[in-house]
Amino acid sequence: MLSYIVRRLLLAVPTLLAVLTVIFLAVRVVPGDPAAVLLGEEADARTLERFRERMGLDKPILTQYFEFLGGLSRGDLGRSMLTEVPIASQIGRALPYTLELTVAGMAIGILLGVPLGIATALRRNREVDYLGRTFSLIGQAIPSFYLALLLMVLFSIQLGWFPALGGGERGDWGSIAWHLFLPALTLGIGKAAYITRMARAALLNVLSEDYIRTARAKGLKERSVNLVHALKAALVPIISVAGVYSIITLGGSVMVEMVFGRPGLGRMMVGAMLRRDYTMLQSVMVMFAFFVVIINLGTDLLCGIVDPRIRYD
Amino acid sequence: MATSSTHRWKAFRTFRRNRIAVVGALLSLAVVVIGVFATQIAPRDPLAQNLFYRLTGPEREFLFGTDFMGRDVFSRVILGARMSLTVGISAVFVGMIFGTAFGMMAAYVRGRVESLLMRVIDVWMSFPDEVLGILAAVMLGTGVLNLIIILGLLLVPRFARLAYNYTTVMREGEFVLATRALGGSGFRLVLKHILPNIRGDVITMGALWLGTAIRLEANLSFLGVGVPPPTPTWGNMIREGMGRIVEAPWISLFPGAALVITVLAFNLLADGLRDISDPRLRG
Repeated sequence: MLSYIVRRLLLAVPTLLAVLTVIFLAVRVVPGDPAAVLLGEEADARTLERFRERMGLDKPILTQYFEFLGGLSRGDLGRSMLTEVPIASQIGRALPYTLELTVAGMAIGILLGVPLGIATALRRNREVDYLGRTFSLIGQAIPSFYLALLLMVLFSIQLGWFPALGGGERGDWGSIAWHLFLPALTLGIGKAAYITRMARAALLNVLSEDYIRTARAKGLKERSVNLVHALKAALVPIISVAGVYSIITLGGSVMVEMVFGRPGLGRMMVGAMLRRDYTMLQSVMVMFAFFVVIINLGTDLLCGIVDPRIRYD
Repeated sequence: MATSSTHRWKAFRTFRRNRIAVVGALLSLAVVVIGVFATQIAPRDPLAQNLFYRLTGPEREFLFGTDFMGRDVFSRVILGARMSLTVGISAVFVGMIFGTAFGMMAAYVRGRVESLLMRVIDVWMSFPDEVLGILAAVMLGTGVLNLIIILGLLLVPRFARLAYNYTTVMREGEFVLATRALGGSGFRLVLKHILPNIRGDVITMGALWLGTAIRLEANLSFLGVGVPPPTPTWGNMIREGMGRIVEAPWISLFPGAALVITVLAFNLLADGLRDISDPRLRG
């Protein structure tokens, strides 16, 4: 197990480095001179020069690259190009909103999707199956930002049960949960739609295997065949799917934060993009990249624990 | 030729028996027709402002109401279908061409280059579409053509994975060995023998990813990196209506409904097509 963990970790490092490099380059090939774009056309050459100097834009690109990586390794994310506020502190403030939303959304997605997937597979072509599949089809067709809008119009504006905007008072758990409910439900329903379908397919796949027939022939109870033998084998595909969907949920949080006005990372990223605050944009992207690599790593390790064969691959 | 037409007839019957798929096909057709004849169908000029009628609710004159500039939401939704389809179909083509080429190439070269290329695809695919879309939009800028490229970029790894998976199965086939033995070049092998074999499945998934492309287009337009206003797309209409969601929810809700129906239609169609090509998934 240890060697598997080490191998996975070693693979994650070059991946992260490659992604960081892509982000670094992407932000630097933006059309036009960022200094000129930010300061406007009336800025004179001296002002532009001073700005470039302050932001380190006058240095050779390789120096900038190593300073970028060096800063990251010390946890220094630089300063905003616009406000010159340290980015790390702003990310620190935004992070809880995004993490709460992603974790809660994913939890709802799994708690709704996995049982529904199992139920539809075990009751194939019966009412539960049709209902589950209809839910899955519609859930997959609704973009998260539109579902967010629908829930907001219904539950916040019409019924007034939940707040429409904001992320809640920090430190007040009741307020946080109250503000979190609709955004998390939005993401949860969307993810559950996919997870239901995947879990159903995974379980159906296993149920057609020979050893399931053997287990039945041995006279094992239907319940134990389904829950012990079949589910265990279906667990690996379900976990890897859940991992993939955690990342998709993270991406979906961007959309949902925009609709519900939650001051999280996604909103920060979109804001930085629209204001052309490239240092800020770069740092938020780095955070997302970091989470993607961590979630992938976690999924791999979890699959390795559940299925020992994967460790020796 | 006789066997081929029997095969097609069977495939058609399988498809027709799947009622949900037929509904999907008809709905998709309807969306395409609306998109093609959008300017003829739209009762009003989708860009014409009429401040006298601004923020009018849905009524007989304005089926879906009007927006804050007095523009007819119904006509804008119709025109939005054209934009969504144009962008979506073009993006699927971009993704299909480059992704399939990438995937087949990776499977063909084998060895270290193969693992490296597929690793790139895996990392590329593992990034959330929203984050990658914004990154690409920052590099390229906005506009219809750039949006097509950006969406294409998001679809490339999906097609690459698909083509790679099929090609790795195909490359073990005896016809590959036979072509090699006859002295066929690698390029010829991939283009003349492997491509025709995977074409059907790639196009089927293309139909599914058309729904995805349309959804992603709306996502990006909603974030403000899609088609710039005043050209109506469902995504930017929903975005524009956001500020008036309390007093005039119809501005956002109708284009969203059109979006959901369209994505659903293409998903159902693609599910039906996939059932024909892969009977194991049926039921």
